[in-house]
Amino acid sequence: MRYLPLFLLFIGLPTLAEDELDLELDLPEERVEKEAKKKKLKKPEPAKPWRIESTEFTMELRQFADDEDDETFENQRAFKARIHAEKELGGGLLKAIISARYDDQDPNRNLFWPEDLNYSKLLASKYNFQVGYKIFNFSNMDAFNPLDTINARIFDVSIVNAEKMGELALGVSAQKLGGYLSFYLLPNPTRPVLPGSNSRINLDTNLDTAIWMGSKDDEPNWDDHFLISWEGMFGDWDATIVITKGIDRTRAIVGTDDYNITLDNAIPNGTKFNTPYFFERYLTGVNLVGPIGDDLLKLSLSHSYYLSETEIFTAQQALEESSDPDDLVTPSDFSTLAIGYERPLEMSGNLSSSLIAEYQYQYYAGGENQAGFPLANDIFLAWRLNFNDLNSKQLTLSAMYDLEGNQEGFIQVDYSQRFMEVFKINAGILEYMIPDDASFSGYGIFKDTEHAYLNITYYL
Amino acid sequence: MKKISIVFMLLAVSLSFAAPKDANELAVMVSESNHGYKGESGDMEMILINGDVSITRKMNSLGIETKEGDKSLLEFVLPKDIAGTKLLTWSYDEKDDQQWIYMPAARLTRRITSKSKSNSFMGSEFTFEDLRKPALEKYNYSNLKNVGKNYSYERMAKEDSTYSKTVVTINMNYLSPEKIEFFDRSGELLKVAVYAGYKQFKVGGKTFWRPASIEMDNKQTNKKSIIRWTNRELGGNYPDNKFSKGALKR
Repeated sequence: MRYLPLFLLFIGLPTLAEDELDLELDLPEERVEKEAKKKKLKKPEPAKPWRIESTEFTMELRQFADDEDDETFENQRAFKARIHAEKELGGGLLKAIISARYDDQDPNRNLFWPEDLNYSKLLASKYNFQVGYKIFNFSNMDAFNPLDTINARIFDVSIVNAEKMGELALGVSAQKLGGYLSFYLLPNPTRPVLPGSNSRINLDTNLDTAIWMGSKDDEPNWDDHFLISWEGMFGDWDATIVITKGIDRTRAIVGTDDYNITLDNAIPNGTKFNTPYFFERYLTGVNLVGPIGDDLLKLSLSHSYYLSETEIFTAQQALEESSDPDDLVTPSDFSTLAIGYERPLEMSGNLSSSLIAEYQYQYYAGGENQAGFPLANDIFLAWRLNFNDLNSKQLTLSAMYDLEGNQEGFIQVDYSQRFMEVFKINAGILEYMIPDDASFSGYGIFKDTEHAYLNITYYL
Repeated sequence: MKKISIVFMLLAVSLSFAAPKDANELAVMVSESNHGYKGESGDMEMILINGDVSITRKMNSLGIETKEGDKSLLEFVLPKDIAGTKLLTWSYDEKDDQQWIYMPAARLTRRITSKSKSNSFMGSEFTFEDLRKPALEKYNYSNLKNVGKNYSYERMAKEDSTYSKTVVTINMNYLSPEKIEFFDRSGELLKVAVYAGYKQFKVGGKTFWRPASIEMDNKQTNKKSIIRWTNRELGGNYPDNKFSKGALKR
């Protein structure tokens, strides 16, 4: 309720259309008669049925490198279904995009999740109200999108392409201040899906239920989180401004907050070090995309301010048998600068391609990325080739490299095309380069997860 | 009185479609004849023909006139893997045009670089540049020729373009293109677009003509693409906020 005044300020005083106000000064008897006539004349509109916008089924196959571990699988098969349906209801739109995946080898990937499951209605011809689950997108680059962290994700073997899950949201959007202004309440953060003991990300264990850490330490599931965004233009530049308070579900610290400190030792009160802690934070920032001649320059600036100072006795610390209180970890506030450059290249025939270069740097308060969060100082290069043909063939070569000096990175080759008009094939190779002595954080968790993949989607 | 009105109307029509003095005047006449349509909507079907293979794409189109230029929104219906993809184009009269494409699978809006305007649109013989409104001020016009009942002129972009020049044949009955010949950067004939099946629309007492189809024939590859419109309507009042980048995600 604290944000109610802000919410009211945002929506202002909607100017209702005259026919909605009914300003006729009739005598009560006449009005009753008119109302009765209106009711007689009005025929109830028949309810419109659900309209299936798309239905798709995907067979997902992955062939991993042999990790010389008999207990892990090398060949993974999964089946994914996704349906998008809409229904007009009460002058508004009910939208449902729901996905489900079945994986018989990795139970953590057996999922059913809403992407969008919401009702929206335009009021007073200006204000678009929306309630329900929703996926937000504040991306402007291929690899680094510091503002695109509103939704929970399904973390899997790719560091940059984790699927998003719908977020419970109640909000209003309108054309304001020369752009598109939105205000949303996000009262119940969706829990991210983390890899389990059967995943090729070799955690050896299933993690406990995630805990939100905020100013009140263990934060409740229902909270006063919000999102304000403005999307518009500054001259020729696309601009997005985001201010949000919520749980940062892109960065977790795994360990326990149940410990005592005696003299120079941190002593855990138990042996459970597998709880993922996600931290409440304010995130503010701006995205800009604009032309530089024939090229595109992309900028993203953000600042994260965490509300919890609770330190975690980490799983890594337990693994190294360290009881040094200096090794306890809490996320430090940090600022991010991400910069991207896209240059289209001249090609013969119908071919077109572009070179993409992106760099992200994170500056942590105190100068140290204590929690070991990934993508703190990384470079991403990609070359995308579009065949611009009947089957929309596309080939992308990309590589990411950690400039912090750990020689960590990946190379990916990705190819996609449509065939027979109703199928789409997506195939590629994701090769991680992780040194043997890499710590179990950042890119380190992807050790031995290099694989080839093949996804075949049928569109009904 | 009725007879006088009819004579006056015929006179007005014959005056407005009078023979132009030069190419520039004809280009102005064509441009002015298209002002005032307010809004436009329709269903589009694009047939891509390569030898014996023929594939159909479907789209819905929506457009409005604004003070600065035209704004249009294309939403793909077929093929299904890209259904919901939207192409937003702001065609300015004076500034550089801007285009964005929204991809629903990734929920991502990508800005299309000015150089990408020469890329094929959906694998067709149309480029992104072909789909933009050719604003009057962005071209030089020359070489007016009388072609039977019609006139043709050469149009050269003042700034970077996919084409070295285009030769536009204007049907003087509709003051609209009947044929456009596109020449590549080396000056060779690349494509020919034929506009056919013009239909009349009235908006606020003014007459507008729109083709029912455009057939684009690539003379260098022998591939062909045809765009056909159905359910076309002019004069609609569509809110400007439908054509904003932020609204693409809704």
